[in-house]
Amino acid sequence: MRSCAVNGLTLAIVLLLALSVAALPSWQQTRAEQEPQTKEFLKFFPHTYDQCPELPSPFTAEDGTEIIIAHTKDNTFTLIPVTVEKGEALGYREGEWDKIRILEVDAEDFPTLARTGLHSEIELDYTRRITGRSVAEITDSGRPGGSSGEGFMSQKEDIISVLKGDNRLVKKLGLTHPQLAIPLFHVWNIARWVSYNSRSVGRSIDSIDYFFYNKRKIRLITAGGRGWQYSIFNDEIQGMYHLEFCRELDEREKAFLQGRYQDLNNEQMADFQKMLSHIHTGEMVPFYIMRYGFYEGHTGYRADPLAISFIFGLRSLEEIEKAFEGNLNKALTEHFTRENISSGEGGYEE
Amino acid sequence: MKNRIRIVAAIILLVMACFNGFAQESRSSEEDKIDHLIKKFWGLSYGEWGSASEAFRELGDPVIEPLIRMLRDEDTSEWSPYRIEWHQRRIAWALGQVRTERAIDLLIEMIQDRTLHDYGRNEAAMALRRIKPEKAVEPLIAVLNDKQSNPPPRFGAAYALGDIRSEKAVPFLVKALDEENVQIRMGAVYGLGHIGSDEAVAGLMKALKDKDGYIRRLTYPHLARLRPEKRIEFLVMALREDDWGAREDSVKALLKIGEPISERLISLLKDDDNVVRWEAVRILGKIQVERAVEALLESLKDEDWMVRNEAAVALVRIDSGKVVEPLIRMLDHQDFHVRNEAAWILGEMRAEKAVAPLIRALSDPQSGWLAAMALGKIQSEKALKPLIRLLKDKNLKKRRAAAWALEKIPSEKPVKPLMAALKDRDEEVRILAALALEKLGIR
Repeated sequence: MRSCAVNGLTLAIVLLLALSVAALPSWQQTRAEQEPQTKEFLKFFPHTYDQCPELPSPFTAEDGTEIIIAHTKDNTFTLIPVTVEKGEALGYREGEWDKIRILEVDAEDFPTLARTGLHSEIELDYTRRITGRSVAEITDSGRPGGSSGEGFMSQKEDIISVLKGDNRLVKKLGLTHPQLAIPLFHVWNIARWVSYNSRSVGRSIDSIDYFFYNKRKIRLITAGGRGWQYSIFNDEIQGMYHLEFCRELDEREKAFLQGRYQDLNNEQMADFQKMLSHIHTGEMVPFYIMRYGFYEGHTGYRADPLAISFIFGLRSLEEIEKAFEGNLNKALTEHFTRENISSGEGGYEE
Repeated sequence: MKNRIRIVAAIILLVMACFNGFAQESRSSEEDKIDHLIKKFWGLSYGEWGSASEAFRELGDPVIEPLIRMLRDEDTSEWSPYRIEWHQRRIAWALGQVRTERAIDLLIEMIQDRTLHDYGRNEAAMALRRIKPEKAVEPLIAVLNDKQSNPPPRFGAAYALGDIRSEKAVPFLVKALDEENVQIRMGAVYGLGHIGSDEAVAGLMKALKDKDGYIRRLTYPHLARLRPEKRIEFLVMALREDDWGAREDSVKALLKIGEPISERLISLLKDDDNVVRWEAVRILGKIQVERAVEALLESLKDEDWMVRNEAAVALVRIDSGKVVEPLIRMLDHQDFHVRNEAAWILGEMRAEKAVAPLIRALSDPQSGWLAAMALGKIQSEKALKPLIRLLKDKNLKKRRAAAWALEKIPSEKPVKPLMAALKDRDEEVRILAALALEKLGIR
């Protein structure tokens, strides 16, 4: 009898607990969730939320607005609209550069890229000029000490080999160039929105600690100006700001890499992990990826496709490793020269 | 009588009192104006300083005393160096707008005063650049030579000496070309370039041997301007630079000259330096010099891929009918690079005459793929059959090229072979075949 009463009491407590747990999410529902999910109802940065809005990040609202959830340095959460769209002019340099061509692909030079999101190798082999500028001129201007001190590619690289090399990497990942450009445009849009809507000087994103992307926490390190840089192509793209962000590998990922790449010493492993999880690039690069499938060659501003797919969770570490089968380190570091990219039988191969 | 005298005296006193009052009022109104202007100016950002220029000029000498007080009497002991710098720069700039003798004397004092901030002194030099007073020459030379001073006032002095165009300064500017600091050397090049005498030109020739490419880059335009008879040779000399900026500036200058430079450029196509050959081809292509086409055809045989590429692009730009026959002959050249470029140009020029030779070239093991793509560009129906056959070639690049080319030629004839190509072992052939079919409305 007594045990029956105890059992009854236990059952009642369990039921009560279950009910309260079920009620918990609706309790914690933020205003962002309670209201219709359109940009008219969602409150964006500088508005902050004490709790993390229960939305995926990135999230597309009913009206098409793409939204990222970020965590501020004041330990609050905020929503940032980052829609990658044909949009309003940015007013850069007398309106020369605008957001209007953000989604444009160079269909005249690369019709296959425009139709499939990936280059055709034969089309790249055929290419002698891009945007009316010779491949030689683009290469000359893009090498270190050319139109940029650091260069858009390394001394031994040339534009066609770089395009071809990265196209192979992206293809192996099972992704397309626009898919890889989008997260970078999102970061660029975060930097723009936060800086234009905060009182910080220049394009400072100081108030943002990290943002969520496909359940990963991506830390924004910096987004600042470094002087104007013109494009190596004959286009309107130009840039002032650089973007730096990273995502820390978790213990499981670290153990996975250590298991697979046992021949690397500690220093090499640290460099390897940094290359995979850290990107420092310029604001021109998302445009370049979308329009030409160009991630920059092996310079300090390269946005490596492997790193993009890892950081933003487009592919898991296991998936990336599977695509490169023990050669991930090489895939991240090997320069795209004519010698190692050549497919033989002509083109400019020597 | 006495009353009259009293009345006159009273009137005189009244008038004097009025004048005194006016004078006091106008003095205080001028002081207010100065005070107001200085306050307003100190609130402006650097980009807005220009808006205060006219007000300083109109007020003239009276504005100098308050500025001196701000420079000498202000207690800056608690200020940051940044605040001190901008305080002094504002004073120097404002004095530069006043432009009176007194203001010039003070600017000369400022640039020589080692107790001031380096950039306060530099701003004084910049103000003297604008005024160009002869009496500043000796003090500016002294500052340029003053190794106890940091670079900013010294390079400022070099720029000012150039703008004053003082011959006396030339030996000192030439000596400054040996300075370790690049900004001082840049200032020296500017100074010499603006003075422009024979001695200055000799100094500039020395700057062409500077270790820093940027100094050399700055030097060429001065030399080209100062010695018009040797202008082209200076610009050509710059094409040999390893400094990209120097070459690029030279290319722009040569492009401006245009057609008259073409013979000299054609002669450079046989230069030993591959960069010079490439730059010459690039300029000829952009100027679109028709008489250069024969020489450019020869450049297609160059050992350097950049020269071959640029020559091909140049020939397409010039688009001369004269090149079609020679290019057709080049399809049989022993070097496959030459055959490739010839096929590419013919395709880009949409040379109908080349269809049959290009069809023959499809059997070329190294260049057949490019001939196929050229046929796609020309969009000749005559090429359909051979391209369809090429879809089954054992050479992968040819199969890809055939699928790519068939997509360009509007015809339903290749539907079946393209459907078959969807089963090709190569993914790219399959994709290109699918795109070709899609264009025909078949998914």
